[in-house]
Amino acid sequence: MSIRPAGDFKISYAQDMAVLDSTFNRVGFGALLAALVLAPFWLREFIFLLTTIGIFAVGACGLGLLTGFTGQISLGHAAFMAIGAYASAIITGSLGLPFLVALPLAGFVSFIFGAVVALPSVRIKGLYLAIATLAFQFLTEYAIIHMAGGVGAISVRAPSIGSWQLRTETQFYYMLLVVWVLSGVIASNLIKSRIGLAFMAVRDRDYAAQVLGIDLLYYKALAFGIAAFYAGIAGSLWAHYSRLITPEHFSIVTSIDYVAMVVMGGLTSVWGPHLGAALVILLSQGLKIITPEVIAVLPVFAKIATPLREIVFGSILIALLIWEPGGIAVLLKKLKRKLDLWPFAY
Amino acid sequence: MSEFILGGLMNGLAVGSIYALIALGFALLYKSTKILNLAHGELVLFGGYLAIALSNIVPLPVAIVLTLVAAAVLGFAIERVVMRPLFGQPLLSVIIVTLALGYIVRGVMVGVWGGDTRQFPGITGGVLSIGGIPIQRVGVWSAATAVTLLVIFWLFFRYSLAGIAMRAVANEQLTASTLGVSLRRVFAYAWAFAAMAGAVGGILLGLWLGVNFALAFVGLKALAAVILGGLDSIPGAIVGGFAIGVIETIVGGYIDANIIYGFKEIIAFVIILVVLMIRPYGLFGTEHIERL
Amino acid sequence: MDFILRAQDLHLSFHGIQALAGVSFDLSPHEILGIIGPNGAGKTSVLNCINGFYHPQHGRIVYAGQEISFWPPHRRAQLGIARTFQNIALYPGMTVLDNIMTGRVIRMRAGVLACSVYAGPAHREHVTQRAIVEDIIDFLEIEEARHHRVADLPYGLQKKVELGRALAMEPRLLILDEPMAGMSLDEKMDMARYILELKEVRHLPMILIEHDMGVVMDLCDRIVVMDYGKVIAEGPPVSVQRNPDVIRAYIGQEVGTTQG
Ligand SMILES: Nc1ncnc2c1ncn2[C@@H]1O[C@H](COP(=O)(O)OP(=O)(O)O)[C@@H](O)[C@H]1O
Ligand SMILES: [Mg+2]
Repeated sequence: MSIRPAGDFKISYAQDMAVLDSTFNRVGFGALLAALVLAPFWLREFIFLLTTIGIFAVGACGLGLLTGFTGQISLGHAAFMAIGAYASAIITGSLGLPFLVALPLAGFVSFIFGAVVALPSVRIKGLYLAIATLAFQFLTEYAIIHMAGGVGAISVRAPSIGSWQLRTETQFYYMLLVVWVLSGVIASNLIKSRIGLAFMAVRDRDYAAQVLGIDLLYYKALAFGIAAFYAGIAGSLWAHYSRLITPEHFSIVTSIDYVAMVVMGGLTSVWGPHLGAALVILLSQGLKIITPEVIAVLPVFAKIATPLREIVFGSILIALLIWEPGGIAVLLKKLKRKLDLWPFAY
Repeated sequence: MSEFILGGLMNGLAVGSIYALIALGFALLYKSTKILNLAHGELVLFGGYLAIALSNIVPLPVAIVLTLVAAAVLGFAIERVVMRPLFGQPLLSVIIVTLALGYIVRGVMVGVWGGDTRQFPGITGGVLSIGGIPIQRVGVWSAATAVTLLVIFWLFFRYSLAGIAMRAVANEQLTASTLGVSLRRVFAYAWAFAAMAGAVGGILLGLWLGVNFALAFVGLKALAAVILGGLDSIPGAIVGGFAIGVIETIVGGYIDANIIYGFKEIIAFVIILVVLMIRPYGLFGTEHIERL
Repeated sequence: MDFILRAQDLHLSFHGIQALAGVSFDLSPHEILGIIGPNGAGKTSVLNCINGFYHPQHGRIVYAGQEISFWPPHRRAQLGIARTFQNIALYPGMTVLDNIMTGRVIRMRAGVLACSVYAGPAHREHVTQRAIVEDIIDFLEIEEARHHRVADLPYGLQKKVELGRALAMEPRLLILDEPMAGMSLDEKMDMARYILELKEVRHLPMILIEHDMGVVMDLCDRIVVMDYGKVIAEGPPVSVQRNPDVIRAYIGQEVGTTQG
């Protein structure tokens, strides 16, 4: 049963299916947006955290559509991010095209790769697909290193919009914020549309979907393509943000981080990828930030700082999934339900 | 050329025997629990690191026995603390949890012992010549041990009560449990067994090549072996292990030296993709036709 | 053309087990064809051949004048072949409404871009489709359950929802695999009423697999009896009922005495 505040009745079909369907949601979303817009003022030098979260949230949004809503496991999401990043670097570098062209173009290049990778997914399912995408991840890393030469690093131009160069952290953040919000809104729109319905039909019971006339190949390729598109956009953003990219940024570790984001955030929630990205980035960056302070007090800590990140990250992931397999999104929903009913305990 | 191939074959079979052992643990775990354990490489790492650390304190054979006991305990602990509460959760959650387990094990290993390559104390190099083909003495010993263990594990799996229970569960979880086989106990055995197989693999590879954190990547080679052999087939895992060892050494080695550098590192993934495209259930695995 | 569907000499085996050994029958437009037979006779396998899940090693499926033996399942569905499953194949986590809406996916035309904007064409389309789905919900009298998750519904209601989802496709041939199995008497009567109405009002041809002989005899125009992957009798209910082969296949089951 859905729980919503009394007095908020749905009247027509159109309203029943509207985007932000209750006052609570509309107010909450508005407040969140305001906080994000004002973030540079209250986060100050820590705005880079939110920028990083935003970039990865965009990528995670794509994986959320693919894994959470279409049920296709991918352990190679970072490979598509790499493709987008290198595509964007080349498009703005050697081709000399502007950033605003490169950004969507990087997405499209990734899209093509994603759709092609999806072709075997009609035969290869579940676990086997996970393994295939894992192989794809390693092969992509390898290919990039070989094509770029050396360690595969290339430098990337600072992004500009028209003649306006985005030089400061804050400028980049506002550009990112637009892309981030768009990404989230588009993902949530897709889920409500025919495409989302078809995705979920494929996820929950693929043979039933076929009986309904849903072409598995088309929708799986579309899901992979869209997921790769998002990853490509994230890759492009990352490239122009960090200005120097190496395959190491997009290694299997990043792919695992992505999966951790969507699983910990909540697989079947549109908010899941964003919550998960925030958690994962805060965890790893947070550990990085406090490390120097701890080392000052406890010098032995220097040696175990990196492994400690892995241990803490792994433990939190396991603890969260045992505690609430539905992830943070479900935890928050439960919390909200409690608040709605408060002070009555039923 | 024929020398290259013969030498490759010999070395490939030697390293393949260890892969086979590791893959066996992987496949057995999958067969009885349906869990794809992406932390298997970290169990290999665990064996290597722990055995080296212990062998600095006690004689090598004792260190090995202690490591095996520790591996079994680790396996039991993983099953009890992590996997059991997650029973029945979606595929992806379980996969990501095994990855997280891998993070923890690797983090602890590297945190305690550092990431540099370490050698077992008192292991001398020495090269044997078999039929004119040079091969490292440790390699031969490791391979011989691996083959012996393969036989022992095989006999155990075939004839011991625990082994029979594991096979029963592998065939049909529900039926086996209604027949009174304790699923929990079988799952616990499977984890302990997988951890031990991985640890032995780590020790044998470590004796031969030394131990560093990259040893965990062997888990991915075991993955390639079981995909090639068929995810739910024990003989498949063994054949797959040998095959990956040989292919990696000969084909990988050749391409690596003559065509593109570093190919040996990724040939396992090429094999995985090719097998999945052509025959997803592998050489000996069972094809699954969905009942409607 | 006097048939809408023809199954011709279907042979199918799994790892050496013969599931179908030469099954042939025609279905004429506006007809309800019953398929009966003991468990394991191969009834479901025939349906799976018709809608493309199984590929018979030998034999053909002809539908609306074209051979579709090699078409993938979704293309056959797009031609208007809809079906329900013996073991309900709904989407348990979705609401009744969304489940039925999945039957409309192939009727929706909004492109990827329209879908990502949602406001505008995609939304308008969704509203139109929703009205159609509501008609089906009315027809099946399941208004109360509209917003419930399917998993939370009783079995009989789930069967209705699955019929609803098939109807949402606006099918031209409806295949029902044991639609009344496990239902209460009341629920069976409801289901029989819907089936009759679909036949009388929409002239929808149907293939019906059902174990309840009373229901089968009442509803079907013609019956195919299967055993061991073969058709052992075929004809109108009365003649099939008296057929000695059928009685032999059903020893232990009293043909025609259970009333639905
Ligand atoms: N996917 C499958 N794999 C193996 N055997 C199958 C499969 N589907 C059906 N069979 C076999 O085919 C025979 C007919 O089954 P089915 O068509 O389901 O019978 P019915 O629907 O009449 O009860 C049975 O012996 C069954 O075991
Ligand atoms: Mg049946």
